[in-house]
Amino acid sequence: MIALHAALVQALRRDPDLVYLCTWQPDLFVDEFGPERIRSMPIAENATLDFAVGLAAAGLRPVVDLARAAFLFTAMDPLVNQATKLRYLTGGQYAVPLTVRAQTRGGGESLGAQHEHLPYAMLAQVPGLVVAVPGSGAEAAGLLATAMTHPDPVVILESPALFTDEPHWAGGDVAGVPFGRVRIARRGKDITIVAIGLGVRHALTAADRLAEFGVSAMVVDVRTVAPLDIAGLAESAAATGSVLVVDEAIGPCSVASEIVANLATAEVVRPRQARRCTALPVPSPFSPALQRAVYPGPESIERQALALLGERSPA
Amino acid sequence: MTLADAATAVQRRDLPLYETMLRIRAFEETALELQRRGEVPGALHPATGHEAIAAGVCAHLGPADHVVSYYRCHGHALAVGVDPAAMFAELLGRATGLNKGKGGSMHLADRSHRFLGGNSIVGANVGIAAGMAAALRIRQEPGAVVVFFGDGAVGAGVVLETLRIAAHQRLPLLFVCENNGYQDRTRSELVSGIAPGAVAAGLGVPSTSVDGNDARAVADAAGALLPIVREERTARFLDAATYLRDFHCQFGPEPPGEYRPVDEVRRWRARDPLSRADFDLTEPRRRAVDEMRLAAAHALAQPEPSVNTVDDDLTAARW
Ligand SMILES: Cc1ncc(C[n+]2csc(CCOP(=O)(O)OP(=O)(O)O)c2C)c(N)n1
Repeated sequence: MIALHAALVQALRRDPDLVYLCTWQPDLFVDEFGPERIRSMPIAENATLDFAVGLAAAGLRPVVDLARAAFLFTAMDPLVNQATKLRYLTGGQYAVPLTVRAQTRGGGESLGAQHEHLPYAMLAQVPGLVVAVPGSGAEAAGLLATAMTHPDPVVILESPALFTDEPHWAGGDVAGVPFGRVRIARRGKDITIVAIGLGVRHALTAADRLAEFGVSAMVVDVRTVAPLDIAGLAESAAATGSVLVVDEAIGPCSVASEIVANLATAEVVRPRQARRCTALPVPSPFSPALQRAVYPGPESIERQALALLGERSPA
Repeated sequence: MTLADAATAVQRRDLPLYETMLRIRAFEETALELQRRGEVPGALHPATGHEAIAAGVCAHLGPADHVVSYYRCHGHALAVGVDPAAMFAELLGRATGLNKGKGGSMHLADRSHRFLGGNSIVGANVGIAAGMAAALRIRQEPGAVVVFFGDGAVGAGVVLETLRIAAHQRLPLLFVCENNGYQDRTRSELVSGIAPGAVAAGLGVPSTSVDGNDARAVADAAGALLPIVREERTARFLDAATYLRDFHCQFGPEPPGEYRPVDEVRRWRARDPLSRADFDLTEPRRRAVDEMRLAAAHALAQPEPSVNTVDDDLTAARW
């Protein structure tokens, strides 16, 4: 069992109000928790998310496995108009402690433009919605553990690539990861590479290569894009004076833009020392060769980090 | 029993239905009056003409039942027992409104009455009601969920999806379609050739048709369906034919235009749910009007919400 599944099993055992909705039931869960709590739903994402809002309004705690983030688009009304508004609209009478899990892209799957999406900047615009984008399999488990105790809606957008080399869960409690707090994934003093989701893995690979050039790169995992840990980001940026923000989503109106804007406004780095390394503004191509050209990988991160450091004016 | 005794017994049985309908009518007419005076921000969707459905269905609610409504929700709120002064205060956007001034006319909710309340997205409330019904199953609680919606909602994908889910998962859910023949300005026949009840039946939820302007008929139908829904844990659909007196949506001080054929409106007016009583309603009508005037006056005296509350109730997270 991987850590993510351990987190789920532990939560299902601990909290009898937890209900898991999915289109594909893992046998493991059904055997232990039964079909009422591990609920198979038809391919009806719109109705499934409204259904989950109803479960939550009635006092249960639904976790919806939507499979692909792409299917969120059919279910935007329940998420945006219902789940995140009910507490506010009813003046606090009803709450929607809902967790939605959905996969983004990056597992080498080549599922094409309608299936591979990174919609976290869009979702970060929804007031009251927590948007978590784990940077590793263990982080996904920790963020899920927290989501399952959170009072309000949470979306967790996971890259399937994070689970490909995930070690077997060693046992013990899966600790929750706090929302709105960045994680230092690697310490360094020359440049801060801030990364989101699968970008964290690429940034760590790039940091290994940069070390061969004698560059010491810090890697910061953003973990939740809403709420965004602006203080934590500023602190790690100030520590090196240069920031490269790695985001697999496209650049315009992105979380990377938001981070750069905040760091520049806070004057923790000079504006020219805060850059974005983002995807080209095109839909996700099918061809792996084209994908390599669209998404930032270790090589482009390494190249841009060196360029950024090369432009640094002597202190 | 003499004929006169029998007539009195029928009256005694039906009087509560009429009292509920009169309270809804008086509430709506007071609300419209407030609106024409420019006191109400936003839109009103009055339930005048639909009263028999709210009164008839809610007459059979038990203590374990939940009600989910749509934007035309004032009548349902009154029929489940929500305080009209708090409702008026919400319509007026006051601090002491039912939803602290955060919801307005289309979103009245009162958890203490198990009333999840209104929803301004056509069809979404139906999916949410299904989840609440599933919660009753999962927790093995008694009771049913009743969801109200218009015939226009039956065109929404989420409603079709939910009918299928409710049938398959045997949800204790009563779908109540307030079939007034129109969806905003569009006559429903123009966009759908199949009656709401037939759609439901086709997707596995048996449907009953009823004259939605006849409170006794609605009450009898709901009284027959709700025990099945509760005890057999299975969904049912009630297709209630009705008509709006005050058309669709009232925005601003000017009454909206009337798009419906004059003789159609006249025909339905003659079948007003409140004109069917064969007993004297003068006294209950006067009581209802007095109650609603007083409630509205109370609401008008309430303060506006403090701007400090603008981000209250967005999240319960502590950070
Ligand atoms: C998803 C969605 N689409 C469109 C609207 C705009 N709209 C509000 S009420 C309405 C008519 C719905 O008619 P019906 O369901 O028959 O209910 P009625 O108003 O007749 O009671 C429409 C189209 C909306 N609120 N939500």
